[in-house]
Amino acid sequence: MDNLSNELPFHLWLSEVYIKDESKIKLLTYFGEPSKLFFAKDEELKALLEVGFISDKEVEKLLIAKKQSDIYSPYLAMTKKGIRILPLCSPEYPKKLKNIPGPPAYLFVDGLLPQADKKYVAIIGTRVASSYGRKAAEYFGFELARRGIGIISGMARGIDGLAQRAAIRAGGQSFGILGCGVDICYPLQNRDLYDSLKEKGGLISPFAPGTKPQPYLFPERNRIISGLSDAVLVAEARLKSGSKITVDFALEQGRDVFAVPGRITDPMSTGTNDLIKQGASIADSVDTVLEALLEEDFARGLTPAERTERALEMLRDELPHEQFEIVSVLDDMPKSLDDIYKEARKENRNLTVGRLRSLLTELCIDGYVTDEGGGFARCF
Amino acid sequence: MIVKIKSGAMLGVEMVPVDVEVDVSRGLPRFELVGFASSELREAKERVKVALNNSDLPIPVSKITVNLSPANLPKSGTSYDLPIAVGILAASEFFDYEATKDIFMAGEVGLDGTLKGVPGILPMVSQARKKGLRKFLIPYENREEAAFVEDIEIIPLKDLREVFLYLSNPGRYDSKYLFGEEADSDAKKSKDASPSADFIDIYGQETAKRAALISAAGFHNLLMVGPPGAGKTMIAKRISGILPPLTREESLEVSSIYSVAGLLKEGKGILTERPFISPHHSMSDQALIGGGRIPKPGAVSLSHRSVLFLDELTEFRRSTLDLLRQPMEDKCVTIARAYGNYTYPTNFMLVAAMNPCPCGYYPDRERCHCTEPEIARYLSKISGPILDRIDMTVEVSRPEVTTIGKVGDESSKDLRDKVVKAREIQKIRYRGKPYTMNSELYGEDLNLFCKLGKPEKDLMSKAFASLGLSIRAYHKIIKLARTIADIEESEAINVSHLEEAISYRTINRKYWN
Repeated sequence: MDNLSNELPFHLWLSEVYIKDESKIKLLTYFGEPSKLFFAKDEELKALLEVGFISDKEVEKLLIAKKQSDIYSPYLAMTKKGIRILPLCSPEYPKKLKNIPGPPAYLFVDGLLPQADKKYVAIIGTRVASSYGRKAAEYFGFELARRGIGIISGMARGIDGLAQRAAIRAGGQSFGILGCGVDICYPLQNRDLYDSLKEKGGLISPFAPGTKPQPYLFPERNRIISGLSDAVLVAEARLKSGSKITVDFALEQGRDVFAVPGRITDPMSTGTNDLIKQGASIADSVDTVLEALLEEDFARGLTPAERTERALEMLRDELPHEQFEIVSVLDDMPKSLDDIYKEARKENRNLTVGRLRSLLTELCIDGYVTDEGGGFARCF
Repeated sequence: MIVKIKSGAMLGVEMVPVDVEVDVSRGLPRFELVGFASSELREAKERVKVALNNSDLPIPVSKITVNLSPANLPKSGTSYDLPIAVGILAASEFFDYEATKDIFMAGEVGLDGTLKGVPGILPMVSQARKKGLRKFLIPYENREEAAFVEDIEIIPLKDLREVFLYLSNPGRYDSKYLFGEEADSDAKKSKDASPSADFIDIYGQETAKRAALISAAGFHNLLMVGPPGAGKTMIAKRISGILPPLTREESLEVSSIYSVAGLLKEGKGILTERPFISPHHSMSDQALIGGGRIPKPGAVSLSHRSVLFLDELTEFRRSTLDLLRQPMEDKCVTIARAYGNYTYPTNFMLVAAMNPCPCGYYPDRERCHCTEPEIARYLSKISGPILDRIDMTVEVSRPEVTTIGKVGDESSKDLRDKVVKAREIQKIRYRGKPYTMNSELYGEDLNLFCKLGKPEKDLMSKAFASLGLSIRAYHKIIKLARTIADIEESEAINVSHLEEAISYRTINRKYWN
């Protein structure tokens, strides 16, 4: 163990050499320790090239990197930020990830690591979520975390961030897998989430600290998202979506794939519906997901559909008739004021726009309805 | 001999009296024009000389000196041609100088001696009247705008010959133009004309129509957000038509600005309809605020007492929009020049329209693929201070195809009646105050005229907590609720008025949070 911690600065050095992870692992098995690679004679590397162990480009890169004089100060700077490096050989390296084809040679961590005895679900989806997608992400994030399932996601805008925030709200654990160095918060709007993940979960990245977010880095991140989880749940996605990449990796790694079904008329759900068509499991409630994940029996709850029905029944008694009429016109998807007016007028001929506006404001204040971009949606 | 002719210089919409002093004396023949004159004014010398010659009124061969007094006030424009010409004739004793006493003169002369209209006649005449003058010798082209001022004698003439005949036969010269009956009837005629764009053309869009009604009733600024083709521009164009008809004073104010800008059309007389100003988004800062070497009124002043419509608000340069802040707050704009400050009134109602995102279709995700940063960047073109000054924001959705060709229930006339009724209530309430409309309420008076009961106060505090409203929004909401209550003819502001008012502010939070 002590030996490993002595080697960590050299591991950091190797992690930053721009060659394939595969080759790094190969070199490490040959040399045993990265320091030996660092201090190896140039002839030795050239000999490895001769036998075809590594390519000449890689030798070139290594030879340049070996000229680096200061190995320790980048390592000290990293540890000062509270970031750890986990080489593949580290006993802490998550087992689940180790077993996927082509595991990353190094992980950088700020915060905790996924536990081996816990189950993890990745909740992923579009960055521009509809109110239905938001609701789904929050529902699954919250309910799964509440039952002790950890939530893994990419801390992106939209579904990722919503599910992770909900998980933390439920007092659960969540891990953010980043497509940049763990010391960089991307996107910036998710600063709050970034900070709370550091505290109540962990930030994990295969890229060295200081790496800027680049589009070509994200597929690798997606591979780790699915690699660290037991199941991948797509909350909302269009047909063309980054979530597809994660799902492909998940299938390759043998993870369960769940998709939240959407309406057939909704362009935002074409991706998830397509996944179902191809054989993904339907995520219609947490219980369905838990059934697949947990071997032992667990307490079942209401499905989301039943919840909505119950809530509507309760509101029928709770709210004045005039307000309930408005609520019953609303949907999960935002409806424009003009549409609501048209439909509500069918029930109540005396309704004016002014009155409708005032009723909706009342419902918003009391938290039954949200005022979304483009219209109003019910929020239960 | 020396004579003095009364004329005036315009400093914004303010007239400063100017005496045109002419001295004709013996000496080497020459023509001097002094008194801080601009280049176009200095050319008056040539115009007047030739015009007099061509009118068979030859200039005496002597030393002519013209001074525009006060000589330290910079003067420009061509309106001094007529007083200079008359001054020369009087000073060389073509007629009795007494005949020109107490006559205000302004007008341009052509080389053939005809009198041409000049900008700014209406404010000149109305303010000279206040200073005690009653007789006005002006070009025939300007007769209609001058006729608007009551209790004066207008002498609208067509050329210098007529001017000569009029002045040399005091009290006897009859011209068929002398009497302003023709002008009067013209002004009356245009008053009855109904606005060309009518709300009856709009079917559905009930929420937008309601917003238009409220904004017109209280003169509140309105922002419409919606996809292309939703009818935002159509609605905006109809708002100036449901504002109450211009009162006499308002008409004078507005027409004065138009007169200074040289925009009063011949044959139309003064403005009786509220103008609808809709500048293009590529406009320059000067065109919006007013400017130039001699500052001319900009769009904010031309829309005084009416609607300034900014279509595609996000396409305006951010710096241009931010210029609106001060005129919206102070209701006037002051343009400083080395030789004086020009102040123009800018009490307009801002109506703006914009798309919610670069492609225009957000939140319709079927058509809109704009990313969140793109949308945020697009919306950030409108600065917070401008948003704060907008009282109401409404979303306008696209009407269905089936609605094409159908007409709405309420015409502009019906809506205007409602607006007029609400305005009457406001006028009575604010009697003796310097303002007449709810949107102008501020400070102590706000608490005085907009008393909230216990349930209303509770609602406001609840709304603040759960809807995340800003403190600055608080007063806007109350003023808006006051207008809604006035439309419903309710003395007190009650919960439902407040709730509706709040709903016009919450959407800001959705887009600009």
